[in-house]
Amino acid sequence: MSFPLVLSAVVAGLIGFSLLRGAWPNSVAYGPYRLVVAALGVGIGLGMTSLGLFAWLLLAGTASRGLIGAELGLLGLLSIWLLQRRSRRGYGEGLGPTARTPQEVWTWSVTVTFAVTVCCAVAAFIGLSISQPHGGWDAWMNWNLRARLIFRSGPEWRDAFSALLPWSHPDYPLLVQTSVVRTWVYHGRETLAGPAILAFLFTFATAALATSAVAALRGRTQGMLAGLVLLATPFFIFHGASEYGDVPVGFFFLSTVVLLALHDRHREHTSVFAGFAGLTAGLAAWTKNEGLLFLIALVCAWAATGLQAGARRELGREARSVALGLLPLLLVIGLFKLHFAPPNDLMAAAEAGKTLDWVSDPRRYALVAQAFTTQITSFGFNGLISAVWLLITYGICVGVRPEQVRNRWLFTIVASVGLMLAGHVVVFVATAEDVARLLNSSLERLLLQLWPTVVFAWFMVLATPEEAAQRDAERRPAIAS
Amino acid sequence: MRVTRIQVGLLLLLLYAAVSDARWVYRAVRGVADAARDDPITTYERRFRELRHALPSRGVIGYTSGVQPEVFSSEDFRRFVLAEYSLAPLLVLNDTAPELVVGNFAPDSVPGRPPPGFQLVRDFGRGIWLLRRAQ
Repeated sequence: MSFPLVLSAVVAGLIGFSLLRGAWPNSVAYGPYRLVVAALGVGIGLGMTSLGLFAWLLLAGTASRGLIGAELGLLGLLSIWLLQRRSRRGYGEGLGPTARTPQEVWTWSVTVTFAVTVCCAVAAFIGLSISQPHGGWDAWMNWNLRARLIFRSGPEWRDAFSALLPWSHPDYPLLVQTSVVRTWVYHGRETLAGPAILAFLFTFATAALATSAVAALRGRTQGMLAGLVLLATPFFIFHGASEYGDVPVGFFFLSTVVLLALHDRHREHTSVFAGFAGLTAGLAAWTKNEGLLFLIALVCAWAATGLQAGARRELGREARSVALGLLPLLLVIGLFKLHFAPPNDLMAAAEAGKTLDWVSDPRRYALVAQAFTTQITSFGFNGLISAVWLLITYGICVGVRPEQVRNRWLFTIVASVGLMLAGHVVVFVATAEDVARLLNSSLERLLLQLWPTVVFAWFMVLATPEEAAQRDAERRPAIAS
Repeated sequence: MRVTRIQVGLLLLLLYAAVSDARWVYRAVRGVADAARDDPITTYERRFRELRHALPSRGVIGYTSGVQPEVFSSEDFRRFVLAEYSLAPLLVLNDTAPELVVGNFAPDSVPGRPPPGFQLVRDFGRGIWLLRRAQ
């Protein structure tokens, strides 16, 4: 690991952190969210610097080292902005002290297991990156290949999106590919450590965000349990190390959901979190085409829940904030899709007039339904139990916290995830020539994209061990009497 | 001692994590063992190193492996994709229409002579040929 590579990660992280910290509203205490901001800062920083590299390609004509100076200049400006706002002090609504558990031994066990799992997951990630330094199949067929094409083509970088290589998905959005190129610009030449460090940052920033956000909003033990499940999910670490785009897009799904939860909690004081949710939803769309589906599902679900709650005026205010973060990203994505990317291969197949035959074939629906059922129920199997059954069983054991179930953001997320799964079903049924092969190669990855969001939402809704124990203790005398 | 439902739930979560931790330790140890040797893709890419110097730095080249693209197996496709990955930024087409064509043959199926209409520019060994369309 060279110093320039570390610098590329640090600069990206600091840019993201400075943006969030600088925009942090006075009315919301910063302290409880310190780790949330750090984890969000890593992903947002990588997203912003990816956009910066794309802009640099357009303006300078090649991925040159001048980019580093521009990024350091931007970081300097952000630092000045932060210093100017340093005198601010959030009075903070406070999140309330985390209830001390009467079962200290369990808290201690969770803390130790969490720490051990973090260490083991990091070691496994490094081991996997050493075993397959080029990443998995899609990494060298698509993500890292595209990065090579951009980096090696110099001023002719537009050739990287040639329709002559349709199997390499040249229409995919560019966050991962340009981020890999960016690490090589810092390093001065190609290195396999570039995509590996990027994959590491997204994987562990996702785990850190899920852990810290649940910890800040529901308590420390609950946060560690969420992080524990995520880091112990085999496919999360395996696939994270494969250098695909699924874990990064999952990070931005989770970021958007966390920011919506923050918005829900602090909406009376600020709409900054809604703006950042727009930004991260846009970055999801800049990462993978599934991000566009997420964006549509989220907007529909958010509007529907807002209208149902009869909050039209508030919805308008939120829409303006979300648009502020989202619109610049949509412009960039539109520019890329209209001027650089060839048509999507699935869409191209759909245009061939086969769609009508496919959507009227009941066998395709049966195949898709069977694959979804199997994959969902076995997702995260580690030799003991699937992670889905684990969460359901654990949920039955501790029960839900009724106040959490009534939150608007939760309705939005449940509806969004439902719409996304429905969207995936439509794509499989209506656009895939060989639906069995596509299901086999992509369904588990699509579920992985949503997994951090599901884990976060689940632990937000469930009672904490402390709350469940207290509820049990209160019930016992009632039953005894 | 009375075991509560909550404790059962927590125990299950911790067991799940412990089983995964064991897998992670195994993967980490395997990574250390793998560090001493090249991975298959790095080894495969090495086959193309000399060929890269004999090709133009930009443009479009053809590709043949002796197998028709319509009947490509997963392994044939993998070999083709890795050829593009190794030779980027050249755009490698999976046909023999361009003037320069890379022959990428499995070591046990190297043909005795170039395909009709092509002349052999150079045999780089290990199943790698550079072919040029005959005038």
